[in-house]
Amino acid sequence: MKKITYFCFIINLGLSLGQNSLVYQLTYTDFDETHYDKCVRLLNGSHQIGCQSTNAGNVGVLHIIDSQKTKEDFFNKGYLKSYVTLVDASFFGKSIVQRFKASGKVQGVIVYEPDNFIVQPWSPELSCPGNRFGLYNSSSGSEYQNCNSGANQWNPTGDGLTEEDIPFPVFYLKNSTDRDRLINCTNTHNQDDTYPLCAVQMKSRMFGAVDSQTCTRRSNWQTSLTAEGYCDPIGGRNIVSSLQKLSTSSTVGTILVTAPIDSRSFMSSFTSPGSDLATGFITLLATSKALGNLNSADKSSLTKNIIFTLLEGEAFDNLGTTRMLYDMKNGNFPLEKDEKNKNSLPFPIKIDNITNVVEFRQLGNLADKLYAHYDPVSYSKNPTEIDQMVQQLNSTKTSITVANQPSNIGLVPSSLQTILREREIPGVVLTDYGKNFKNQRYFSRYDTLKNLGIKYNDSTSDDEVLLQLQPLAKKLTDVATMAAGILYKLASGKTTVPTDVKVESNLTAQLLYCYLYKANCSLFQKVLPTNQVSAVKLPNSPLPRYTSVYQGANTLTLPSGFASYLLVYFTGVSQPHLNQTTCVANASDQTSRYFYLSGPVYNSTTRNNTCVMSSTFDTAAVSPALQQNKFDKDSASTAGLWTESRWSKNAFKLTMFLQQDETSQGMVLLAGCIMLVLGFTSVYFVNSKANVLFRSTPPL
Amino acid sequence: MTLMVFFGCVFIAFGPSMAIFVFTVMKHPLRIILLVIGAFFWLLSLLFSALLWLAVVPLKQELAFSLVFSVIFQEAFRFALFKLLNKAESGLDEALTDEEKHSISGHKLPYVSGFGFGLMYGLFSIVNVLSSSIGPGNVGKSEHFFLISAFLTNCFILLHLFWNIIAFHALKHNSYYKAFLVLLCHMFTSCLSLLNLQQNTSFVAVLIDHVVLVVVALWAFFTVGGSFRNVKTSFSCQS
Repeated sequence: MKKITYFCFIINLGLSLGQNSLVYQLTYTDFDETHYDKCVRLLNGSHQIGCQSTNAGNVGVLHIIDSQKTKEDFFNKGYLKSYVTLVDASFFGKSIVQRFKASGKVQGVIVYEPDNFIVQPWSPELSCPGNRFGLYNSSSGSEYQNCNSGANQWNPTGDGLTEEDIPFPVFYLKNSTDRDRLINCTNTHNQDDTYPLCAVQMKSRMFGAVDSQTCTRRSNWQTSLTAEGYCDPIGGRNIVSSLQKLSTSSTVGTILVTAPIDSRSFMSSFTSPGSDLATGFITLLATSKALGNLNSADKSSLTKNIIFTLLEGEAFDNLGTTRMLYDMKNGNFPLEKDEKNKNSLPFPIKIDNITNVVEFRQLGNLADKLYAHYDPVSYSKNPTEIDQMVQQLNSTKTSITVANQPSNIGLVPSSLQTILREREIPGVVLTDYGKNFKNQRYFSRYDTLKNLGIKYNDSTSDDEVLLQLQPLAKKLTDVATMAAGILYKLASGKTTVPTDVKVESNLTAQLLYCYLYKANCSLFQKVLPTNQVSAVKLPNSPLPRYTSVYQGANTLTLPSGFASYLLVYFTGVSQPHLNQTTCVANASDQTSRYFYLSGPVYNSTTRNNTCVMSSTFDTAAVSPALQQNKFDKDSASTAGLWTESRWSKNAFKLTMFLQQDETSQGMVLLAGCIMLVLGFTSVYFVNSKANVLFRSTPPL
Repeated sequence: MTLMVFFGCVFIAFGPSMAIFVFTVMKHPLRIILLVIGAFFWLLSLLFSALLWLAVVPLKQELAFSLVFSVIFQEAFRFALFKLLNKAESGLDEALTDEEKHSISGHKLPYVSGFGFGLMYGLFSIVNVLSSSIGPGNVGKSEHFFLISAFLTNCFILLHLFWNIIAFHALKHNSYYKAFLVLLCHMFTSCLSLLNLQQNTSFVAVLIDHVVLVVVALWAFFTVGGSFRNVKTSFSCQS
């Protein structure tokens, strides 16, 4: 027994040290974790989606699928028990993943881009996004309820892969060297199915399972001394900015201007810019600039207030809107109730205060027609106010005209749907499409600026990109001008708009550039508060806008953070008489905040720092049930119960090696057993005859 | 499924050693102590080889250099082990009972300590290989890498055992040339493993090493007083 224990100890030691040994390097080719994207596990109120491997990792023989023939051959002729398929990105989608699942012989999928890859129209989002907690049900607007049977499919290229529960890992190779290594190994060893075969091990172990409630409950059960959760709520911060200074005693009628700020993709953590949808909040920011140009007297003369909200987590069943409405209902909007400072807080905005809603969504593929969508059900009950909004929108003359809403469709997937579920408010959603998304790559990794027709590569200069952005920026600026016009008219009751309500199309181009091309840009640097400058490192790429895990109050993600500083910069009131110390200390109550922004460069190195006062806040955009760990019976029917599974530090692994067949492995074991038996018999014999064998003098 | 390879290799590398341990060492406490002493001395030789390797920076990449010095250190520590046990033997005469004395008398002492010496060598040489044999992959360049490593390990454990018997006997009877021959033999077999660096030549090393093993085993057999007649007798006794 002692020997066995000792032996086991040595083996364990060896196992832990073995990872870096020469033998390991001879056997395995590891791929750097940062060289590939991975699909992770997400949970909602009723399902688990995404991918995961077994604890030890999934192992399979590589098989390339790069044509219709190789694809069919794989399903019909592949006779091995476990494969990992190397799939050309043009063949990847929900249908092939479902066939992989059904075949039972696929242990993992690696997606690669071949040389000269042409991006196919494909969207991993559902063909009817936002339908799960949508506005329509069997009693109201039932003809718009089920988009797959009868009603309009908003996203025809969408196959809903994002919502698929996949029992094996899916990786995406970012690097052509890695791709070539895998393909070469496959071509060298796997042509004729004779061992050894080229195989890989894929590991992406996820902790979360079943659904959010189960996972949260498990996380809260302390079963071991080391506290370890299984999943975290998805969420962020909604940005709320008021045009007028909020009052502590009352709330006037309020016009809500909203746009989603987040994006999502199949490989969730590695979201592409989602350029088309992003144009929505970029136009909102431009609109806020146009209205922010109003002088203080004009602003305070408005009879209604205008509130800009940038909603986070909208890709997850309108998480941001759901939470905003919850907060409005509980009097926590835009700031949470606080009994101590009751008098200094802005008077809560309730949903009854909202008089109109204007929402910006996809605008990137705008031609010359802007669509102002509204809900046909509430329109049929009360058409006047919506008609008035559309008319006013049309009355501002720009290069864009407003098209009539196509008949027989419900309200487009939008935050407005969630708002209308709560209360019927006249509202429009501004989009570039009528019946179907013009964007054929909605929430796909290829939904970048290139998808909007901007051509660039590594050698393209920044000025060239800005120049190419001008036509799009012009159109978005026109939309912003139109929207600012209608908002001013709605808020003031007047029919003419002051001339200073306008925005330079150059600014819109800057916004597009900063959010969709390179975050390290002059506009972002300009609006960054001075106390953040050292902490924020701006990348030379777009900021990822996946909502991710809720970080708590006071933690803004970079995209939301900059949106909030931009709103402050655009709508706030400059306080030139205040310096850094007095600026931050200036707030007398909580209805407005003071920001000390970096400001523009005024000679080559120094920045002209400015103090700005603005009623800009950030509120939680996370499911209240998850935040408080309180689930009731109807939890599953509540929107926004999204969580992201946790994974350990070394959860992801991709390694390539040659695999022996089982016969030759069995031969090794057989050889071992023979050695064991031979050893035991011969030693037994020698030992029992030792007296005779080792006798120096022969017997008499 | 590669657990099959793992256990196959374990049985090949340590099967005979396990038999030796079970039948000849396990029941005698003193032999276990001697086994551990032998193992400890091999570890010491490893320590000094490693220190030398650390110290001589320019030759770190040269496998042949560290190999030659490692063999010299091992043989030096075998000599040290002999000196120590020789001293201890006379002292132990007073302390032990007759039965205990008998259990480590004569050639049993070099036999058990040599076994410990070899066993520690075996564990160290194959643990890395075994750890990767569990994993899903196979060593890319040589298909039979695991098998060869396992056979070589077994071979060297037994070689160390026999060398120890021969060397101790030679040192005791002051026939130093025999001890030197053991060192040469050790050096020769170890250097053969350099062949493993090239592909397809590793079989040669395995083959030659096993021939050497048979020769050394016979030598040791005759050293401890065996003869062909004894073998014959042992078979005839069975009937």
